[in-house]
Amino acid sequence: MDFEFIKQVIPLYIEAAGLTLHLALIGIILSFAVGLLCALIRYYKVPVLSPITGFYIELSRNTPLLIQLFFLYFALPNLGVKLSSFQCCIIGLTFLGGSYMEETFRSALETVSRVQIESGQCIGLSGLQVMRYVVLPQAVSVSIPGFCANVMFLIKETSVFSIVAVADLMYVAKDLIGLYYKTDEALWLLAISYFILLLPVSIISGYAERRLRYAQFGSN
Amino acid sequence: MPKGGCAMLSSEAIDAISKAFSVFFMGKNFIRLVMGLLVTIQIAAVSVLLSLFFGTLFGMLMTVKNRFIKALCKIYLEFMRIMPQLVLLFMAYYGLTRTFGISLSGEAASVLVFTMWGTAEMGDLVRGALQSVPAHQYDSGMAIGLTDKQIFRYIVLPQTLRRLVPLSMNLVTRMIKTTSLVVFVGVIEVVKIGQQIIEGNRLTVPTCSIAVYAVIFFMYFFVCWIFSLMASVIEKRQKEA
Amino acid sequence: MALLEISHLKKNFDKNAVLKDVSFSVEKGEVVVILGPSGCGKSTLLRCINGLESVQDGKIILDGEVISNRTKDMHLIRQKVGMVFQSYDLFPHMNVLDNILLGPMKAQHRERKEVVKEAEEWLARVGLPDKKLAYPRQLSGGQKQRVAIVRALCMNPEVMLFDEVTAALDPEMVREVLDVMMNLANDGMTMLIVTHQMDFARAIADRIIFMDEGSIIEETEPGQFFSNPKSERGKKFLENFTFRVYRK
Repeated sequence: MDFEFIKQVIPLYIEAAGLTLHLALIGIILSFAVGLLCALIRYYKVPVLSPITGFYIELSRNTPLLIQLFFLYFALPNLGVKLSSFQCCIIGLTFLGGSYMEETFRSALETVSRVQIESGQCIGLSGLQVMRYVVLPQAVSVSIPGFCANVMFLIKETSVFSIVAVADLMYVAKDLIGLYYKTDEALWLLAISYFILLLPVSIISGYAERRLRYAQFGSN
Repeated sequence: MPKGGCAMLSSEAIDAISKAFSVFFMGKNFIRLVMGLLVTIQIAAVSVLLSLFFGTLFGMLMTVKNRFIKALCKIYLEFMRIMPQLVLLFMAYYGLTRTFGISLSGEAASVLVFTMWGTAEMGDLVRGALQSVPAHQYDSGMAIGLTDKQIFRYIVLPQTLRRLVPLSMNLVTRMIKTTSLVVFVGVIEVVKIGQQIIEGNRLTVPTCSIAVYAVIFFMYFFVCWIFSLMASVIEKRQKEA
Repeated sequence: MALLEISHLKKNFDKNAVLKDVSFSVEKGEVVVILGPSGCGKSTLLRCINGLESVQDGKIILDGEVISNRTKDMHLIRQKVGMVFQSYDLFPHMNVLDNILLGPMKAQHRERKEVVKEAEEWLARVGLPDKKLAYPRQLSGGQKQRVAIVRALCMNPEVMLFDEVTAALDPEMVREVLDVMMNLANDGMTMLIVTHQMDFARAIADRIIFMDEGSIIEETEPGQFFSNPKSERGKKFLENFTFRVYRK
């Protein structure tokens, strides 16, 4: 194990990790927004929009991110739509992440039982007030474990970005293997980088799930 | 948003698209793509079958009372869950060669990695299903005088297997999507073949990449979609039972 | 004029007629207990009065105003009709005080200080003076049900509906809830109660309405009903609650 080499390339990894995180963060925020919107549409069964949203969700859940990226980056230019690799990554990640977030949020909304909604109505709250004071607070806590799982999933998915020439962690590792044949060092650093990125999320997710189980265990 | 957005509706664009799909009427291009997809499906199928088998064993292992074994299993599971599959793929394909001198083909590395990942996921599903059988089922079994082994065989196992079917379908779908990653380790699968078609037809049908990638996109969609439909049909039937 | 008037109410679920031409009225301050076998439509009747179910025909009139099949301002009407469920359903993410304050403050736009005072008085009267900051998961079933009653009362409703509120409670806790309801009745609240607690029904009711298969079979005063019901079905129903044949 060549530790000198490792010391030299660590900055590269840090920079790449930063880029990965940057892209992931934008993707997560956009997915959150898209997912929330779609979840509300599907929860309220809004006429025309609901089936369209359903179709979008089926489409994005059944295709790999890699294929979506290929389509965005290599095929669209032929229609005159030229997207930068950065844009392709964000769009692809949001397209995929949105449906995963929708699933989490919609099932969280549906966990709040009919009787809770009726209790809210019985004390004279309007539909909007019931959503705001009764349904949403409960749905938010229920959705947190799923949200954390989605965050982890999306960060992991960013590993395919190197296919569209984004200088992320995989790209750096492959480069080092190809150029310097320092396979072991490159792979160890790669694994450690992802560990550092993902272990905290995993721990927070587990903690949130336990808190939720405690809170629900005693209610009603 | 890119400025080329309006181009999507222009007649040149529609022209380009229809010309692009003409590439599929030349030679055996479509068949070649399907063959490529079959490579992917083969890898997925082998990995799934192996994962189902080992995963069930692993799941039962996770419910053992020994704390040490439980901890080891947990570590394995967490590792497989935290590492992106692509990283694992790289480690198997590039790493094993250097460290142990074993040279794995792209396909072999893929099957190895996906099986290890699938075993972990499947094992967790099995563990969850085993643990979700209500305690009073065991009580009822004991009350009518069954031994532990009989309780497991006649009461617990059937219920567990039933719960597992829709969840495993979900795992199969995820496995198929993950198999798209094998392009990174040099396997000649549908995307590589697609790229070959595009290269080969660069002069005759320059815009064929639209058609090729669209077709690949929908191929994956249909395969995965069928599995998710099967899963929901099974789930619905189980709920009614 | 009666406070609450039900006129020829008809309600179907899919093709099944659950309420078939139900009519009766309730005066202010009256306590009416609705009895009947399971599935006879008593809970559905209460839910229709509160607008949780729609009706196919007939009218529900509260204080001269038609409130049945209202699409628009039902939430305003519900402020006048308090309802307590079998499953109490307190909001788990709020403590007792917030549960009680939510309706008066957000739907009725009342001042917090005023409502808190009222809430504390009621909590003291139902025997829970020191529970206002507790969370539902920390309370027993009987305590939760009493809080649910207070939550409904703080809206200052004109009539209170009780849908089998003791059915889900452990036997020891039933009495504390029934005591609260008795006190309410003695204070002059107009109440419509569905219950299976026969002794309690006899003690609290001004009038008994006996229903079966969606129709009112008998409407009498409690003494009459429990000693000598006029209808055959009423007699059969009461027999469910007495064991006349003893083992030696």
